[in-house]
Amino acid sequence: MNHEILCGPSFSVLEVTLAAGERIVSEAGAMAWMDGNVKTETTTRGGVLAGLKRAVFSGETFFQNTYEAEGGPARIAFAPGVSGEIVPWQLQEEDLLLQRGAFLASTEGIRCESKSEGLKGLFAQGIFVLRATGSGTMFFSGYGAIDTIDLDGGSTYTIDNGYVVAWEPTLSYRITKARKIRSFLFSDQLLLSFSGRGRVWINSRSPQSLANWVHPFRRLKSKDSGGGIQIGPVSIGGE
Amino acid sequence: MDIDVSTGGLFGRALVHLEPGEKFVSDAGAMFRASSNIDIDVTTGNRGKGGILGGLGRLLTGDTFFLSTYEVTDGQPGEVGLAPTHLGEVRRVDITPDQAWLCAGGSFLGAESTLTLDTRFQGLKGFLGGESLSLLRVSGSGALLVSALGMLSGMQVEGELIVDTGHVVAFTEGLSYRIDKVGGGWINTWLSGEGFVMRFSGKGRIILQSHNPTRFGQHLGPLLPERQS
Repeated sequence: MNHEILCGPSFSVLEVTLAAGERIVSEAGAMAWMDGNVKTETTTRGGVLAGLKRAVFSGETFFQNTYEAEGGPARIAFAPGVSGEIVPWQLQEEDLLLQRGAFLASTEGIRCESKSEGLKGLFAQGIFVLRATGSGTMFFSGYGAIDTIDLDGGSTYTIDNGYVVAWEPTLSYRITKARKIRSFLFSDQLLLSFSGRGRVWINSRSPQSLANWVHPFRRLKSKDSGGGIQIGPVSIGGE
Repeated sequence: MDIDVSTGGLFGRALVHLEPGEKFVSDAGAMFRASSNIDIDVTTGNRGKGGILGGLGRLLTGDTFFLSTYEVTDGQPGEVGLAPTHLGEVRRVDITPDQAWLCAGGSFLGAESTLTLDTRFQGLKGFLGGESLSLLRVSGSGALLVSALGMLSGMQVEGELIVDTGHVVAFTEGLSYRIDKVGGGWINTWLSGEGFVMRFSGKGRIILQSHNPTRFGQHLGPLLPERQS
């Protein structure tokens, strides 16, 4: 399997060339284009429960698609939902933890499951993250440029929770305590302090920040017409 | 001050390297990464200016209203990464004591603490069409970081230049300007959708952004469900 990242770094799209019989897995909806000899198989990969957990808790899709090149080589391209970079990563009987929505595609030897981070998590989009586990090649993506930070075990690094894309399970993190004022002011933004030995990937834009910025441009719901048809305080046919 | 500004692609960002004793100030939401020896102090003004009321004043302008101040705590060098909300470029502007700049509130990303930020000037706000403009006066000596929706473009003004308020990022003090309508009567201005322009004259530098964030917001906002507040 060969891969190429096209249109990077701002609009990265992953194009994979599969040899005959080779397979690749992605989130439903990530496939952008493919050759005619690619066979698509849609399954929950790991059972209904695993699919449900992924969908409900980790913001991924209930079904995952497996694509196979039939009778010859085939090309298939995957595009993330946001513009930005794509990172290829190898796993060798290892795990990688991912922020919701960061998983793009992987070879078949890698499974994705939902993992609760408990109350210590409080990531921008909830306390559940995605754990990729197994062996093979995987691809993940973020909104904006992706920077890596390597920790050597002796130092810690502070990252806004809304910007974390992925991190190795050898790292641990906690919400930094010294930032009470900030936490109070920006309740949807928390600072995480990462420590241990390993790598963390962060992106350089935040969808939440953009959403917050757009909010004031939404039309204001007028008080009179809100909530559909109102019949006033008297209920019809009641009492 | 040593600042790495990433210019590749759409996603400008800045990594500010701080030596002991150096301080940097940014819009409170802009920090996305920092070395662990960085202390963050959220204030409502730079160097005690403005205080709480100054902060509230900025709150009312709808732009940056709380500033974070960063410094190292342990005598070792540290770093702070700053990212704007929008897709676009980040640029460093070195301010010298002989030339103050005026920076549009929404384009301000950060500044060295040796600079004085005067946030009292509020400019135009809430006229027809939802245009707003608040300006920060930046003076002293040090690095200023500005960001854009899209790309930045610097130009020399000699004579007269007319710029839509939403495209103004920063300009040198000394350029005179007045806020004006594009042409014709008020009704005409309102119907044309051009909103307000700044009519610059004199000699100086100006930095513009390729896209107008207010117009972007006006495209997106109505597509979303109505808000309650």
